[in-house]
Amino acid sequence: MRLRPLLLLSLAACAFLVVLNDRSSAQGGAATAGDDEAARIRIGFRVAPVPLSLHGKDPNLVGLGSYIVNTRISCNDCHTSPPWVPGHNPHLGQKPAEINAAAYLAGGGKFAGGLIVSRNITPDEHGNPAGLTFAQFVRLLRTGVDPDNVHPQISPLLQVMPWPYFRTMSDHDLAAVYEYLRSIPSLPSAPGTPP
Amino acid sequence: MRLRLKLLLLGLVTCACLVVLNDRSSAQGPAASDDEATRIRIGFQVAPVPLSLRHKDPNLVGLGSYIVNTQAFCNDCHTNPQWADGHDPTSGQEPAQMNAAAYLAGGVNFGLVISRNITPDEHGRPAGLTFPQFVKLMRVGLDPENLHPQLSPFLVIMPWPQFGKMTQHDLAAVYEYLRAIPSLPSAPGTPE
Repeated sequence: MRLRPLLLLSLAACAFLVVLNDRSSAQGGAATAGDDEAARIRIGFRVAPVPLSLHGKDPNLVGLGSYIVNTRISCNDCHTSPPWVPGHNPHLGQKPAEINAAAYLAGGGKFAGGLIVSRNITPDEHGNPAGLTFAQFVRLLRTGVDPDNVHPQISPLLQVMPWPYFRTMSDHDLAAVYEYLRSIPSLPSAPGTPP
Repeated sequence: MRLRLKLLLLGLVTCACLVVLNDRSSAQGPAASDDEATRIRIGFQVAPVPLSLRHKDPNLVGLGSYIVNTQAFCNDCHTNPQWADGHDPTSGQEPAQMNAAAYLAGGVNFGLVISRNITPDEHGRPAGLTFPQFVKLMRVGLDPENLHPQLSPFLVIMPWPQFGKMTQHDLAAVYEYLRAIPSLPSAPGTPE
């Protein structure tokens, strides 16, 4: 008979644990990943060096895409020429650092003694980054085949672009990169950029 | 009386079950954590070297591998040559295979600058850096060894101005992954 209150008490404690557990895992555990992702998206919007057009786009994908493009990958280093505004190159200690927004991702970077020139990956007149649909973009990154076959004398495959790494990215991350590139300003190609 | 006791006990067991179940379902959780789980899984798939997980957070190691091997492509500048003989995907040599024997041991010559060995040193520290030193290097870009003062006190090729904007969590993941890869002697010509 004296067991009953004890049992009732432990039942109540148990129910309490269920609720507590639920709340703590919403903050820690599973949702830690959600918090990390939210931080990335927030930083993505902060570090984008150009105004973004969010019309008809998924803002979470755009933010994540910007985070990937501008912090983890550094697309800017090869696809913007020059990458930094003169006098604002952080590698030379010039502060504040400023990405060359006026030519952002419009190509024109020269490689292999000028044999290879990086392309304009801003949206074309249809809003397609580098003129690629999402399916074409994914195929390019997964296979490395140059859709324009610009240097057949060297290879049908892209030679400088790090597609052998990018091709193992998750579908979600590739979608984010594409969505971000759709949202940046369309620019005419830099001089010397293949069509 | 005995029936009530049994009912109470049953309730207690059910409750305990709920606690456990609840815990498990939230470990799979909402969309963002699915994306993260995918990245971690891919990270373990694409690491080109055996990883030492002892005293490491496996989720961080997996995520770090994902960042290093699918996005930041550290291998392109810190492994010489980048690809195993006969496995260079840019020449159509599939399956692609990173040069595991020299993975991230440096030695790529950029003219005035040579990439460094970023594998763990004898204390298990990637590139000889503690985590705070690593974060500072990424965020500030100052060359801790000041190897080319005639060019700049800052690292001139390493994309630290971009990498330095990563979240603390992502930088921790990259560091944890670099702690997990095999220690290698520096490639010929690599600065100390």
